[in-house]
Amino acid sequence: MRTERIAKLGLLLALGMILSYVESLFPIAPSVPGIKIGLANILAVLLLYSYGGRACILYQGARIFLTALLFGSFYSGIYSLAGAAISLMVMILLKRTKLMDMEGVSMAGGVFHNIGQLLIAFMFVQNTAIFGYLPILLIAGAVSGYLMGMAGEILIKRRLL
Amino acid sequence: MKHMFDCARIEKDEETYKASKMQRIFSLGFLLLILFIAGAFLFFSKTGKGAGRIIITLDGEVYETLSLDEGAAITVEDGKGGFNVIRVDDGAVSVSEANCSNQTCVHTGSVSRPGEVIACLPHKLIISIESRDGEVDALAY
Repeated sequence: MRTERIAKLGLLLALGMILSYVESLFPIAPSVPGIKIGLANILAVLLLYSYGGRACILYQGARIFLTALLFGSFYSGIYSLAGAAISLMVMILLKRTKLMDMEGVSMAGGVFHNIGQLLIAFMFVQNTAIFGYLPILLIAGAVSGYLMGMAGEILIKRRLL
Repeated sequence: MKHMFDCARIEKDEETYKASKMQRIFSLGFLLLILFIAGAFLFFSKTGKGAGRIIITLDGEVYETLSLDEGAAITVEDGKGGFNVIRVDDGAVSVSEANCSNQTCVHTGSVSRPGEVIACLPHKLIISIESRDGEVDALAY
């Protein structure tokens, strides 16, 4: 049982890395820092609901580390890590409250992912003007998160992954 | 395809992803709320008048202040091999060239209204427009 779990986590990790890489080739909003489709987060939500928070943390941590190492840079890794850390925390807590469905939990994850990244960006640039990006990042995070949650729900219900 | 990887799934969790109507409404409502509020901010922040000052900060320090009224072209170097060419033309500022990894600053194009920002995060460079009375519009967010 445990071996199969490890194998599946490894498989999902590989898939997540591919998704991260593929979407880095097609930036949807090249003029705004930090906006991504977030395809790899479909798997994060899926893992959160089917294997629990710990598996999800493991997946995000490993994916971000490996993706930064292979396709990104030290800084891109820091940004992703900050976003993922705060977003995972929010998602795990929100899921426990049972207030929202998968889409809602994923949406909160997307929103807080972008908030986390913006805070890190503020730490680096030390200029409050950067918060001018907040409205567009909130919209992007919410829409992307909601859609990725929908995708995750479809996958989980049809038991495809 | 079905059950291809199905083995260690926690069966009881099926309960946790079956959403109730209340959960559906609640999260959809939140989505609309975020879209509405952030959209309103986005809309109203774009209505600022032109004629402001351009503040260029590098690594948190003010590097240079330019006027939107006068054409200019300066190259900002971050001291680590990074550079951004900043151009002021026709009351708008843009980054025409940079050697950063993501080119976000170049893709942003021209900005001219107070509160608008061009960011080059890899170089820790922020170009922001402040309305002339010195009020930092970014704080209004």
